[in-house]
Amino acid sequence: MNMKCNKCNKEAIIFQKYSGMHLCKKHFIEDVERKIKFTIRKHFNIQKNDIIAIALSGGKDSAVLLYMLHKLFDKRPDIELIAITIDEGIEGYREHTLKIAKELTAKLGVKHIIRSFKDEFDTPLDDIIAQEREKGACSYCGVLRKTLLNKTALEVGATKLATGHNLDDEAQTILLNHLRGDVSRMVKLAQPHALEGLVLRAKPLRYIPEKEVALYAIVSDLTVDFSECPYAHEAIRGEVRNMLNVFEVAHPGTKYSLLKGFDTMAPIISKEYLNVELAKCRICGEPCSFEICQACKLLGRE
Amino acid sequence: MSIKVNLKVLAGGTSEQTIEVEENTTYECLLDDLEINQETVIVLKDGQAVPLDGTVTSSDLTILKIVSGG
Repeated sequence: MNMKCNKCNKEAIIFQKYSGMHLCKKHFIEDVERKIKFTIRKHFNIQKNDIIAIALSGGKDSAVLLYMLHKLFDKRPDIELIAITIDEGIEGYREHTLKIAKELTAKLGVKHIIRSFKDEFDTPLDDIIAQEREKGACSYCGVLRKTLLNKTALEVGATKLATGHNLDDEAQTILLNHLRGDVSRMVKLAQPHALEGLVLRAKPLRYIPEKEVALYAIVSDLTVDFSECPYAHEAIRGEVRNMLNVFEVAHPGTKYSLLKGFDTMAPIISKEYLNVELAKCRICGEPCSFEICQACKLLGRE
Repeated sequence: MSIKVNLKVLAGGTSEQTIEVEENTTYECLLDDLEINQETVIVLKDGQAVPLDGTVTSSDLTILKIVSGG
């Protein structure tokens, strides 16, 4: 039996359990775009003369992000979009997404900057991971990637830095921080405010479930790559993801509940929990909360 | 009566098989039987996405595993 769209009676392509709605292609696209526009309006105050840097890995999330921001802001002469891709140096994985990223920016006519760990930190991620190390691969990659993204965004004069985090990513991070009892990270995850030396973060896809980002990419004919980073199995995040997915199936709406609860709580804990003043790293000069930044610590520059 | 389905699972690599399911089986039930969490996949029937509460009909089905980019 074919399911019909609740809005127009055409054949549905998705059943959103959390909303009880069946949606056809047209109304699914509308639903995703409405949520993204709402998120941008409510959380990320895009202003005249903004330069929006977009972290573009070439994966489905960042591809959808760039596609949507281009759709929304391409006609605005006062807003500039610049895609930034970080080539961490993961052989057999990144080359492919890098190619997708290049093709997408060429197709949309968006300025594209590519920076690599090798040029910036003198060493590709594969070499860092091959060495004796204390932490999981994602800790190194995440810290170094964020540092280089922020630095590049500052260099091009970006006023916002948009990333493709989806609902699943956000719900996982919230739960992970709770499981670790890490309140300082919860405060950092709270709606960002302007800090000297850090480009303001924006996550326009944070209300879109991962599945729907993927489906949106497919129905919008975006080239997407569903291969997985070879280091992904090392992260504890995978365990949290599985747990949340089991919960979501049994109790639809769990991911949204986690995010909405956190968004209500975040401003309250942020007020009580002292915001750290940002200093400059003694070694590289990048903004950080301690004397030496995480990136320099991980690279053993002390 | 059972229904024949050509099933392709795309998860890193590709695996193909022909399976038989009972009449009135939903895509959700099929995924449960295959021990695949429905939050992690998109099901395509003859190349088109389908709502998972729909019932399986004789066709070419693709189960596409989605993973986080980044």
